Amino acid sequence: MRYFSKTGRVQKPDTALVVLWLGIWIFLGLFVLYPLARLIYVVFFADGKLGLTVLSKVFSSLYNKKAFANSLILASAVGVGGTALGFLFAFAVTRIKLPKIVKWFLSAIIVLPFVSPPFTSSIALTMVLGPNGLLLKLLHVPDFNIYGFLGTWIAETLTYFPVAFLTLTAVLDAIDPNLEDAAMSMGAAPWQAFCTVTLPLSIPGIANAFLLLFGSSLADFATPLVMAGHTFPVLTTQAYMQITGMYDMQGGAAISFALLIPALIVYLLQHYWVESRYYVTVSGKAGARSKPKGAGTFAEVVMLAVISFVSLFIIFLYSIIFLGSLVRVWGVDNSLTLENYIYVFTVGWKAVKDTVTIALVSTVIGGLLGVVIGYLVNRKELFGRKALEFISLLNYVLPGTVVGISYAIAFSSGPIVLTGTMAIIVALCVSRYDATGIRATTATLKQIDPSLEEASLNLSASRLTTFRKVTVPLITPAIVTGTRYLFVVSMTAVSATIFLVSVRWSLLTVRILECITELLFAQAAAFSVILILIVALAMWVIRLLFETLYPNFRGQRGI
Amino acid sequence: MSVPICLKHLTKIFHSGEAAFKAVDDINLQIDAGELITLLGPSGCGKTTILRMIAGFETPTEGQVLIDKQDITAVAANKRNIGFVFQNYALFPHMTVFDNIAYGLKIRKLPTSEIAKRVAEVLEMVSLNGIEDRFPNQLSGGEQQRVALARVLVINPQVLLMDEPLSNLDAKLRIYMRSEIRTLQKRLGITCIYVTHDQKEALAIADRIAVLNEGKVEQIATPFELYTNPASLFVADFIGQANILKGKLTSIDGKFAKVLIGEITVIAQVDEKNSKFRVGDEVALVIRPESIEICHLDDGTLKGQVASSVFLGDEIEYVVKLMIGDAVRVIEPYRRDAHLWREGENVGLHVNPLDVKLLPIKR
Repeated sequence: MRYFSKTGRVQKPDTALVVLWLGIWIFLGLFVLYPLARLIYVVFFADGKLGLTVLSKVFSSLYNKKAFANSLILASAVGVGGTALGFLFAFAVTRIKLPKIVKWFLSAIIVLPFVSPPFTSSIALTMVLGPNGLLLKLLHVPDFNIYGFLGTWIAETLTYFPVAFLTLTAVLDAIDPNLEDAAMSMGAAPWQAFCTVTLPLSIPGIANAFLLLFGSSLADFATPLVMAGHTFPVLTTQAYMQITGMYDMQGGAAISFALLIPALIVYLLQHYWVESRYYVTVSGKAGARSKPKGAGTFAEVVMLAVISFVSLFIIFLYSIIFLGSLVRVWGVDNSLTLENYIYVFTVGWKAVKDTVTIALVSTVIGGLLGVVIGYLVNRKELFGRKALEFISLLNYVLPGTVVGISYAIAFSSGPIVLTGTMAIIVALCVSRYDATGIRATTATLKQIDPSLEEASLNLSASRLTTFRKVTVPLITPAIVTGTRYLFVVSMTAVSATIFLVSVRWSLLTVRILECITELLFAQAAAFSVILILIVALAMWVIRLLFETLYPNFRGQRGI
Repeated sequence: MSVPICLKHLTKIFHSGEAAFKAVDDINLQIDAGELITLLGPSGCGKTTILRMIAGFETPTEGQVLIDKQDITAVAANKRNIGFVFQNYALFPHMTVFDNIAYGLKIRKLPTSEIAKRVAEVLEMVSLNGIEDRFPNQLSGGEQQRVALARVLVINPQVLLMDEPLSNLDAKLRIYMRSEIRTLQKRLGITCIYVTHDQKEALAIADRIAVLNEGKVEQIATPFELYTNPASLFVADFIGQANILKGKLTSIDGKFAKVLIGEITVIAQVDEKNSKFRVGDEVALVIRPESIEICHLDDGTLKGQVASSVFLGDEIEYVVKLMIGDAVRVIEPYRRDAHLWREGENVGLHVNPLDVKLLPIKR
């Protein structure tokens, strides 16, 4: 095999490189394309014949039709609510003059949902507003029902609005404050400047945030499982019930397949519509940047009031989780105890050990794979690199339920049987969550001129030495971002992995879910606290590790 | 209708954490109606901050801004009727040229026909017709600059503030645009404050120049006065090129003083306003490179050796190392019969005492 450099000269093929490239193709073929193909086969081939019989059978049920509609309604509501909340927070941080401590505090609150298991807000919300709920008792509202649309909506909005916040902060930061100054010097009042300049310029960002949240809510499994109840079925939980409750793998696959259509539409909109709408800012030296000016005093006060309320509510929920883990039976027997932690470290110890092992192995393999794929796709002219980039991100883009079910189908029968092994969970985590590493590496490499690497080669360093001594240090921030993300989501994932756990390999998130279904909220809270602590510790260690390895590396903001 | 601007004790202190930074330090300025004044100084001297306080983007820590004798210090930016041209133009990227220019008129709720008429007029004024429907990113740098100017002129501002408006243009366009701006400003008779760090631009465009250093005004004067009679060493050094020699004042006699540099006495002119000198003071002498004449060794008061000679076409630039240690720069115009001094040649230097300015070392 020969390949061409950018200048068109034929270069000698690098055997090691080619072997690596083929290895990645085999991995992706096996753990991305193959399961997906098996899923499609199961959905579209009933008794060996191509057709829509399975899909039409599943969606002839009124309950499943309702689930489809509910999923879309919920996703839209979460998209609207989360984007609005995210915009408010982002506007406050970028435009309103706030003391440093307040800004730090706000960004800390934003990070909390990222490092928590997906059930956290659901558990806390149940403990506060569910049966025996703390607030309900305080306010003397005996017959309030949090389960259903409302509870799911609140929990998902609180879980996902930080995504909107991060997107919109970047967008608002990029808007030149001189534009707002210019508007005001031409006579516009602050609210007029906001409506005619700031808001129109953030529309692409708002659309993007909405689509991100819409997609996240659509694929969310943990929250509706706890909060939705029987009256508000959604697709992800229906697929799970179909498989675990009715042992109908084919039906479950068909229901999850229905998720793909809206998910695909969202993905396409994001990539081909929103990305082309970002305004090209006129270049040139910016000169003095304006100080944050806010949006007029009254609006500012209202905004800050809403933000304070939401922030306090989030802190309240997290304190409840912590408090809840220290009492005997939440709402019934509130005496303090360490029993729940003892429970975690005895009965639950296997889940802790298994989860950490799986997360560590996945982080090492996935972190490496993410950097290598990102590097090869961007710096080497190898065959099919566009296709490979697309396929490598596929498992990440697809809803977790779909990927989980496809794995369960693909690796329980046929040539490769992995059911019940650690390998299947690791393979899923790696192939699904290395995407952030790939993207971060791609983004960083696009900003680094290839001449830096050429200079190293010119000074007669080998390709491997160049990669190790020049490229890796330059993309260290991307590697840190990628590995941290990998570890966090490997620890907290549930929507896909729940279909793959077994007696031999269990996961913390699944244990939390079991506790919730058995109404052991105190134990669930203790598990959650331990999980959050492990994740926080790991993030700190990973950062420390890279700072020691590459002292020049300056840590990035946020996650 | 032109109006005067007055700055009284204008002060701005920026706080970042514990540290406080005095960006603007007790500035007093009187700008006449219809005048174009330039704020000139190195980066960080506070010139942009002054402009932003006049526009209302920054609140002064102390002091007042008076426009047309009205104190507007507490008036919000959007109520001031001031035109501000930004360094990066700050054109709205999501609006066409027409919408950009019409923005201020729409805010003032003018009828559509009136808006269209005035936009057309102002586009004519800056010679930009036929690009109304384009977006800012489809314009060249020069066109963007004109749109930015048109956008503020259309609202008939009382005052025009310009923050390094030409710094993003290439050299040729810069020279062309600065004369366009000057012509337009004179025609409209609008009072204008123009911030720049380019001394040539300031000399070319301004009625008066205020030289700023570390938040303070060093000197405010016409371009001619500033160049020929700098009030401080900073101004002498910042405007044009200057040779600065340090020595001791040995005697003062009316308009002239004798200064001992090494073992040589140089006669210098004393500015009557600057008569606080006393015999024995350490002082500085400022001599412009073009006022020094190179002559044969025995004819000059100062003696030295030609260290370098650079032929620049219209002039020749020499560096002469003086016997007393300092090196001076000399610029001689090139003429067919000009004598060219060789590097290494021992020469004398001749200076008219009227071209030697006596200045204190520290103010």
